[in-house]
Amino acid sequence: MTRTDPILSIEGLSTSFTGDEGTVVAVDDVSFDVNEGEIVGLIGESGSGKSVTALGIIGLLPKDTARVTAKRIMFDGRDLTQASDRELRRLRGGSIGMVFQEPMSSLNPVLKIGDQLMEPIRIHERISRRAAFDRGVELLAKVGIPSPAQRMNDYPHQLSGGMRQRVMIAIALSCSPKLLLADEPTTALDVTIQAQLLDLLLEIQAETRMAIVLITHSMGVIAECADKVVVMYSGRIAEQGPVTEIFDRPGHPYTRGLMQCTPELTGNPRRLTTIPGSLPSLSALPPGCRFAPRCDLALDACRTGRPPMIGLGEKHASACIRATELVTRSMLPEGAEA
Amino acid sequence: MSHSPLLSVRDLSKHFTIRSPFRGTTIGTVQAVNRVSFDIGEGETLGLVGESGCGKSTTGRLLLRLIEPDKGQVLYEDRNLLQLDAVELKKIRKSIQIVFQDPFSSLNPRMTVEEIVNEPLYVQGGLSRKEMRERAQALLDKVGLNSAHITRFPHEFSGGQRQRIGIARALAGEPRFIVCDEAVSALDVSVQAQVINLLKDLQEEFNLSYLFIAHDLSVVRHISDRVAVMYLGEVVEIARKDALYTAPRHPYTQALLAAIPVAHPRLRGKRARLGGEVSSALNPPPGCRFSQRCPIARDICRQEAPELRDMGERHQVACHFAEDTRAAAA
Repeated sequence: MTRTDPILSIEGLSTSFTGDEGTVVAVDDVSFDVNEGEIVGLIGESGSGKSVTALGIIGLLPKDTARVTAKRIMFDGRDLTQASDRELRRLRGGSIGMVFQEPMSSLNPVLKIGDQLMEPIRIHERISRRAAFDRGVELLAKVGIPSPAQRMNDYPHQLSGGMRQRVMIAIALSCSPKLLLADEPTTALDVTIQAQLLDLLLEIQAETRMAIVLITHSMGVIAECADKVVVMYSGRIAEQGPVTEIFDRPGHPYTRGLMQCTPELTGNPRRLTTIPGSLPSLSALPPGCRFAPRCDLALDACRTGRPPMIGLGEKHASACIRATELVTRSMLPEGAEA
Repeated sequence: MSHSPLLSVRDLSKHFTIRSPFRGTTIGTVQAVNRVSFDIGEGETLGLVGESGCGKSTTGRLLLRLIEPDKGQVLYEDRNLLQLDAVELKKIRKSIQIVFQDPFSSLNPRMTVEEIVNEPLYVQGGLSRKEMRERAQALLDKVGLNSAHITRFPHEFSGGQRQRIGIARALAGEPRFIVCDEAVSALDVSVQAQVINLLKDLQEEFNLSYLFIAHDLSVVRHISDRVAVMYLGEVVEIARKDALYTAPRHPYTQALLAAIPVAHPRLRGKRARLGGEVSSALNPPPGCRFSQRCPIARDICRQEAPELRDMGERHQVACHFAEDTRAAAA
């Protein structure tokens, strides 16, 4: 494998769930690459399939209801679709770290911070308790927790939300992962704490060169840290590309809509431009482009057949048949230099 | 616009006593809301921002007496709401309403939309069944819902639609003042923008006043005329929104604004971050409550609590060094 190969390469990932009311497709033919040292922002509204995509990659969806299929999921030279449960388990918490949204529910309330931090280290690296403890203290210090040796003996409820999320990050980093899947890591936190944690992630990432898939619903978080953006809508990729490209020349009406209805991105108009309607239900998806019913640029052709990905530049592609027309309009905010 | 404000809050306080669950002895006092004062004019929106636990929601509830305040005054149309008896309060509540954050738990799942929207009218009485139904349909129209859906239950609606139902219910009593307690926080951005626009339209049509409580500073900037910033139960700064966002005087406001994510990847850059976390409102430090995290704190800050002072043009700041921070902000 050459150095230029992406660390994670997903091709044709689909996920469906079967329940009492039939089968819904939550993720539909999603493909993207994550390079070493790159932060890929996966953005979308609730139900767009961003978390399911991440969970599908590492086999964390319930086997009895979820069906994950993919042409290939290449991670570090290995195809995860062919990996056994045992192999996947070795990867999770090892070369693939995970951070979830809810720092309250993703830590075990009856185990000490130290035990939870040492568990993955001892499973993946088979080192002594003493050595694992020392590593744990080191990790807590690295993620900015004051008096880390004492905190090792604390229970999760003794820490604030921000501190718990720092512990989660420390656990995710414990085995020096090559890839970190961060699912809305700052959503439940206050802005000042969010800013601290994003800075922390960027700092660690710069030092270790690990790749990060950052799932978020906030365009601001994307603007703040992503190198590449994947915009999801209703289980499909609407647009993907380098972050400055996406912000300067959004090539999908949904991406444009997302930016226009986020108050911080628009300065201060009297009325916000809105996207009419709401996300379609997965059990009643429109034919053709899934955004068409809410799109003011939709043509008849949009309502039949899935729109193809149209290339708009190097690594920038949009699933909109009017993409080329759209990118000619630039959206630079005041103060930004082109 | 009249000269006296529609709602005037003076020295509003609520302290919760924490007792040991076993011995019943007092462990301490949480000063959830401490000596909060502000005015809201007719047709005006006052944004109330702050981090979790700063007392902004409690403040909203104190105004409606959903939680009984310990001290202070809430003057509404020149009457002190805190001195009204139950009968008078019921009468006046018609014109003071609240919209809650969570559109899932704030609507009774076993009531139809009609029952939900009409509940305030039932309570007030005086309308026939037919009149009430017509009124409910008109309200649903007003908030952009299909009035034919009046017999449906909350679970048949999306989050954004449910929030519209909550707004319709608040409008039923023809209020003059609505507390919006994180009313758009739980919504996806595309839907959030719709509800914000709706709130603005309704405000124009009915000349409503809002207390808009939120933790999202950009949303507050968009919707408010003036903004109040709370920290650990106290208001630290109130100003017209342009003044607050472009020239904040309180170090905490400055830190909060610096934490908002950038609007464009090209604007990235290292900014001053606020260290530490919100301290506990349980037995807060003497002096300025922000002094432990404040980058410019001096000895006086740890000894003496700063008063909310008027710096001109209705810009009030509770900082001993408000004069100096102006230069820093400019």
